[in-house]
Formats: sequence, structure tokens, C-alpha cells
Amino acid sequence: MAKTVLNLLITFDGFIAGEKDEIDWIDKVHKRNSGGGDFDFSSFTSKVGAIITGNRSYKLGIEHGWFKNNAYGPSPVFVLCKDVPEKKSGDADFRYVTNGIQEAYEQASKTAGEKWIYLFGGADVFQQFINEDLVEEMHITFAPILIGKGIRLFDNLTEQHIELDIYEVNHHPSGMVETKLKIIRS
Amino acid sequence: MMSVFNHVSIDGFFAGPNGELDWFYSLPHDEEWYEYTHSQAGTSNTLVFGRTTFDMMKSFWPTDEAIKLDPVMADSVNNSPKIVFSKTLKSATEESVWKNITIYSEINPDEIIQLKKKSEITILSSGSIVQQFTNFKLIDEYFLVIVPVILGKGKSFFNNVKRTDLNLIESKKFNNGIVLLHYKKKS
Repeated sequence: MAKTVLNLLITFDGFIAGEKDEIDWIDKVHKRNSGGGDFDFSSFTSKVGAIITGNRSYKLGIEHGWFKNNAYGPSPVFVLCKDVPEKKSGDADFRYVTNGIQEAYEQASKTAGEKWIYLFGGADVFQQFINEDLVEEMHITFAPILIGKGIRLFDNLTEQHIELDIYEVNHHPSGMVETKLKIIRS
Repeated sequence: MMSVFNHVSIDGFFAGPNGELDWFYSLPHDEEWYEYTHSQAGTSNTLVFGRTTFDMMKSFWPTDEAIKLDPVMADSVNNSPKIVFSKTLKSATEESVWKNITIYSEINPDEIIQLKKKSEITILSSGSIVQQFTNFKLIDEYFLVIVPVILGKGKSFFNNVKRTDLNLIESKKFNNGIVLLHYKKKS
């Protein structure tokens, strides 16, 4: 049974992006401390068998070329959208899902098999999956920066109090702190 | 030097929407964490509070219950010099166990810079103070305890702060499930 895992970078004050989707601080933080080196996602992406993304993150990703060169591994990327876009991107193995998150989850589960489903973003997709109780783990990396305002990781959850277990903490030379958490089911 | 000591949920809140702190107080006891907080305590630092936190501290630490529960921390909070920022509080009644209180009616950055030269300053909790002091670049170090819970909604102590770069000094996981992150303001 595939496990659904959310993996993302967040500012220390809880934002996944600035007010206008800015994420320039991600680059800024990386470059500042690690001489331009990339955050190593390969140990994570090698465990992934399917990726699910919302439409906005998909469009942002196409615009910025995030998905090119198997940046998140070779897994198929399920895109949640209202309509299948006329012009399909060749940046990755995109599969367009127009019937909502349950359908995307079922298709991704079949594809992933025993591997993980990587929940890519954005905040609204995370919130819907958590509200539907479909997330097992979260890998949250805290960037050493405060931005004061922006898009919060969790803002529209139906449940207001979710217990977690931090089972691993990795301190990167760049000043990033990666935490791996399990959601504790009550 | 001025530092902040506070706890924060995974989603960046130090209290629930109505100031709820049950999620922090219900953490299991952890000896190592207990010792760590004591190593940070003492009575030589000046403690700084906003009004809400001040009232909360006052209602707890001078009580027999608190002194019995955690004598080291109670001694530290009760006897350390305390500054409370409040526009409405005119005078603070000092009692034999709750003393050394000074009231400031406004935040004057120059005055605080002078204070920092005289004493080590620790801000406990106090969201609006942390936010304003961060924007005045008065805070040198942040000790933030990440509590493994999602609150969804709540009070953020970095609400609308100006973008601030930090350097991570240390991260430490404790057996009661929390992770302490120690940051320094980037100079």
C-alpha cells in the first residue's frame, strides 16, 4: 500500500511562499550558505513511485522549468485540474486528472505500488489531502528565514489540532533543518 | 545580548486563536529538557514580557503549586528583574515572591539598546513584543521549540515581520518529541 508523503520547504514562520507566490528566498537561502549547491532530494525521490500536484503548482512548475530533467525523479506526475490542457507539457510524464483528489489518489496509489506518493503542492492540495485523512507523513524542511506574510502551509484544515511524531531531524550545513513527521491517528 | 525563548507549532503558531496553550503544557515530562531549561534559567537575566504573557506568568509562577512543581524555574521567573511593556498598566504590585518589576509604556529602541548593554535580556513568549523587536532588529538570538502539532489557526509571533535572515546555530531533538532550534540574527 502506497504511503502518501508531503515534502516541502517552509520558512521558519510557517509560509510555503510569499504573498505573490514568491519563493526566491529558497534560492537565496541555498546560495547564501552552501555556495550554490542544490538540496539533495535524491534519497527522497528514489522512494517515490508517483507524484500528485495541484494545477497552480503545475503551472508554476512549467513556467519555471521545475519538472525538467527528472528533478523530482522519474515518477509519473498526476496533475489535478478541471480540464486537460490543450497544450500538454513534455517536461515530465504528466497524467491529467479531472475528477478530484480521490481519483488522483487512487490512480497514484496503483502506479506507486509499494513506493511512496509524493504530494508536491500547493497549500490547498495539502489541506484537502489532510482533511480527507490521506496523508501519512510530512517531511518539512525549515529555512532559516522569517518573511512575515505569505501563503501558509495549513490554513483551511477542518481539524484544528493534529498530533505528530517527529521521528527524525537532520541539520544541514546550509542552516536548513529537515524534520520527518508521522501523523498520529486518533 | 537579547534572546527570545518560545515554543511554536509546526505551522508557526505560539498559541491557539484564543491563546490556548494546552498543546504545549500537555507535553510529556522529559528529564533532559527539564535540565536544559534550567541551564538557561537563572536570576541574572532581565526578563521581558508583553502584558498578556506577564499576567499569565504572574498567575502561575508565584503560586505554591508552581514553586513545588518546578522550584528552579519559579525562582528564576519570580526573582529576576522583569520588564513589562503595557500602555494600560500603571503600577505593578510587588509581593515578596513576585518582585523586581518595571513597566514601560512604549517601545523605544534606543532605550532598549542601552538596556542590552547593562544586562542579558530574555523575552519569554510575548508575540507582539517579539514581532516589534524583530522589526527593530533588537533580537540577537532565537531559541524556538518546535512542538509536533498542527494547530491550523492561531497566533503567530512573526506576524508581518520584515524579512529577516537567520543563521542556524543548533538543532536538538528531545525525547518528549520536541525539537529545539537555536538561531542567530544574521548580521
